[in-house]
Amino acid sequence: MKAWIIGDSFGVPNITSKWYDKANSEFYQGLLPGNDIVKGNEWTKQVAESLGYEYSIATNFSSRGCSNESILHKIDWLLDNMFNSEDILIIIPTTSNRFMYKDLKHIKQFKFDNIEEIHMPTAGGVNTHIPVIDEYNTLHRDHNYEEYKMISTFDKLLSHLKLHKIKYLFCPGMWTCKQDQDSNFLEGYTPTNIDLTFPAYDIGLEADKDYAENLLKRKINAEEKWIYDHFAVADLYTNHMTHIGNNTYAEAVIEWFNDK
Amino acid sequence: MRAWVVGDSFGTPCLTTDIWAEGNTNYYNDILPDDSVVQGTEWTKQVAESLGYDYNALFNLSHPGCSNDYILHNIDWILNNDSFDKEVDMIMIIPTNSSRFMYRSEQRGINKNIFKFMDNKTPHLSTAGSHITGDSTIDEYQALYRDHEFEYYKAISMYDKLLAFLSLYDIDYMFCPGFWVGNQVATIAGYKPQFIDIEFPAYEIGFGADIEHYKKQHDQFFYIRQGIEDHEKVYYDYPISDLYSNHFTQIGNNAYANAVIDYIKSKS
Repeated sequence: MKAWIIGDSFGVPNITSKWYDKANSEFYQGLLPGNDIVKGNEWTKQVAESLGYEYSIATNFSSRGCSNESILHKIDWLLDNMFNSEDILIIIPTTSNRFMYKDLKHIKQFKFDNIEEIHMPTAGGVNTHIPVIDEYNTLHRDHNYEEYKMISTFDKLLSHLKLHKIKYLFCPGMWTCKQDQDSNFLEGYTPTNIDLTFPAYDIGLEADKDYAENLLKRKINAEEKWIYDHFAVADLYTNHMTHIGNNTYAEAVIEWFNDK
Repeated sequence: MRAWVVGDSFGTPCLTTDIWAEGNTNYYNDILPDDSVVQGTEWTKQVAESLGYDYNALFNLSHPGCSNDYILHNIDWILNNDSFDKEVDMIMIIPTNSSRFMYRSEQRGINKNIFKFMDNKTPHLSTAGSHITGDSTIDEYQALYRDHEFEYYKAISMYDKLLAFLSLYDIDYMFCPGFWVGNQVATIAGYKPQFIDIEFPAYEIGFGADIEHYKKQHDQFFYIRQGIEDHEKVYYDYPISDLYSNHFTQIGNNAYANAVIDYIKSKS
């Protein structure tokens, strides 16, 4: 009974990121936890094990900065290949603004069976400095429409899993985070399988902010907020949370699961 | 028992197009049938009625030149519409070329170019992918930066999941990938869709029937196949398929409908 994890950075095994050392020494007074504490503490592992599934890094196919296209491709591949009927699929969708485009300097052919590396770079979450891609993303994509398409696509995927009696846990923690924009454009559309009461990542991120303030023994005040944002705890760990954030978020997900 | 039809131009009700009169007079010796003959002969209608469903052009949401995004949105719209009776109605789905995609060609405005799920009939964005848009960013993005094999895989996978959804909820459907089997026969090595059958009849059956029928009445018609005379270009600029909204005359529609009905019988 294995747990297969497919998602974006929030799904990856947790270690410190490349910005950790600088931020920890310059802003957090060397108080933030290192790999000896956070490694192996990811919420995905905690949730999978609490449900009775084996978790291993080898069955975690999550990838930082990836798009939903990449996540859906990996799911298709997994279902056609290594997934067994007693296993569970933990799906962690990402933001709908990401999309893949050809790298003209290193064009790689799409091969369904090649999931080791994503065959194209991803735009939407970062500026690519390729004028056509950045302009297309900024001016020509309808981000509300992309959001609707993403929800609809995952909703159909979940039907596919249900139909084939494949156990899954769908974790749209990114989608349920606090957002400024309204979602009136979705009025009239009711997804059938997606539960938007799933715990938001804000739960883990807020727990970490409180944790950081406790370590510093003071509130991070408004004047230094830009520094905090720049050196946000979320950027210092691969899955965006310390062990505190991961523990808190895992508990929220397990509680949600038990409620359901 | 109503048939709801959603697809690209091949799914639309059959009428002559805006270039029919010119094409018919200048290049086909006025032998081609007009609206009085072709209207109401669309293969979708014939197939739906042969399966026992009521067909009405009002419930045909197909749109010429649209993308699969548009088609999938309209299917969701139907499924979320109280007029759709999930117990007895049927959705006929006609996917299109995966190269097409939608893009914003103009700035958002008040009630303009804004996506609202309930506004389904008119695409709120422009569609690119099968013609030059004249917008250099869009055309360059389409030509250089899109991976068309990946787009094709994504389209197949998305429709396969949609069909799983319809199967799970016992919603009757008919999936008609006539475009894919005609033009994109390539299968995706390693990927096995669960519900999509690429043995579905190709549109070439209807095209072939039209050409065979009308070339008997037009002594220069064979040039479309031989393509060696200077004036054969007219048949490429004004092929019969461009003179009718769903690309067939009544002859092509009848032939294609029969092929689809035979296919259904062979599968049942």
